[in-house]
Amino acid sequence: MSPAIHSAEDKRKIYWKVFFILTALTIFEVVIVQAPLPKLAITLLVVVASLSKAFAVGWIYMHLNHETKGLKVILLFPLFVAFFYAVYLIVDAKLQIRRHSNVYVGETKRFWGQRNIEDRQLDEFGNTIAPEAKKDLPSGEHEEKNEAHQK
Amino acid sequence: MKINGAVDDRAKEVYFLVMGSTSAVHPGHSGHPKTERKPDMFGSATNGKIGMWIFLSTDGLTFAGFLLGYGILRARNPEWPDPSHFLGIGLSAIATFILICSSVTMVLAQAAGEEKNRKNMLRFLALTILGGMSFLGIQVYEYTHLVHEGMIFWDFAKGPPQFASTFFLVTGFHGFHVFSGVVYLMTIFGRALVGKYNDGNMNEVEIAGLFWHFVDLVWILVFTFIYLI
Repeated sequence: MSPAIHSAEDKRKIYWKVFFILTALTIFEVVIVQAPLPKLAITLLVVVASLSKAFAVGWIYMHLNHETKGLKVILLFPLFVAFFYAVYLIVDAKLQIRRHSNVYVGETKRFWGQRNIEDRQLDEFGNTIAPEAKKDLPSGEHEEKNEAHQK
Repeated sequence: MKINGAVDDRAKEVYFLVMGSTSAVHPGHSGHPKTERKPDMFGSATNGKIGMWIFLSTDGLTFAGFLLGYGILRARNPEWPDPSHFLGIGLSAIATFILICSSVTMVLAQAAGEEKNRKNMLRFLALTILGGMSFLGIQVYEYTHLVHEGMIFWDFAKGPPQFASTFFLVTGFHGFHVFSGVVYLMTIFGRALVGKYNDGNMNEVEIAGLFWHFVDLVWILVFTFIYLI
């Protein structure tokens, strides 16, 4: 389908309308992140707002609406795949952390921060042992390790 | 280009799909029924425009990869700080607004050029370049402040260093795009000044505009994912 041909004035009107929508959505985003709402609701609202902003820029300013269907498919399909891939991997990482929170929490700063990484202890599966679990170790072994580290 | 009858039908089909033209081919020659004219895949888009679009699509995938890595590092780290504690949201919101403004001036420059309004075209192009430069200025100011607060590419004094690394990686990569875009637009401005676009053929300006709008589009997403969430 070929798009309707607009006069120059109509074009300008559409450009300014998109500009005001983009500005309004930006202000909405900045305000909504400070609102007393649950974190997940804020995240979803902000992501939807920003994706619609990006879509408006691509569709109107980059004139994607004037291109053929074939070009649209070629350009947008990989980006859609990348988007869903990202959502899947990030949600998966979040869920894994929640499932193994007893292992990672408390040790994460040292583990992910790469600080003192040589003194973290691993269990038989290669997971970091949480500090609470370390207390179960014989105290003598603990001190020996510390001394060895200081030397 | 001439395709003779020895080429197999599949290759011919692909050729028609992409080129959309049968001017160099005679359907009756090979006598195959599949050689009728197919609709042109890319319409009136010029080669340069298709090239820029495909570059932008792959560039978008690069940004997607960076944001994906950022998302995973953040999701796996329960001690990730709230970005609003360390990053100036007000300042970057102003930067976002400046980029949106420069996007509008870019399309207006193109529209003016299509009407052969040379004066407005040059004015809007100059405003676009000015917008890009002010964005870069804001970014330099922001980086200076962050470095003074102990946030550098490989370490962060007040939290996990990945917070600093991902921030500088994504915004730095984007900032480099803005810098390239400013240089690109300056070239276009120079050509417009010499009078290359006086005949209303705005193809080159449109391609530069595509790049510029893409930079704006990516910043809209980066602003949300790095600064706001």
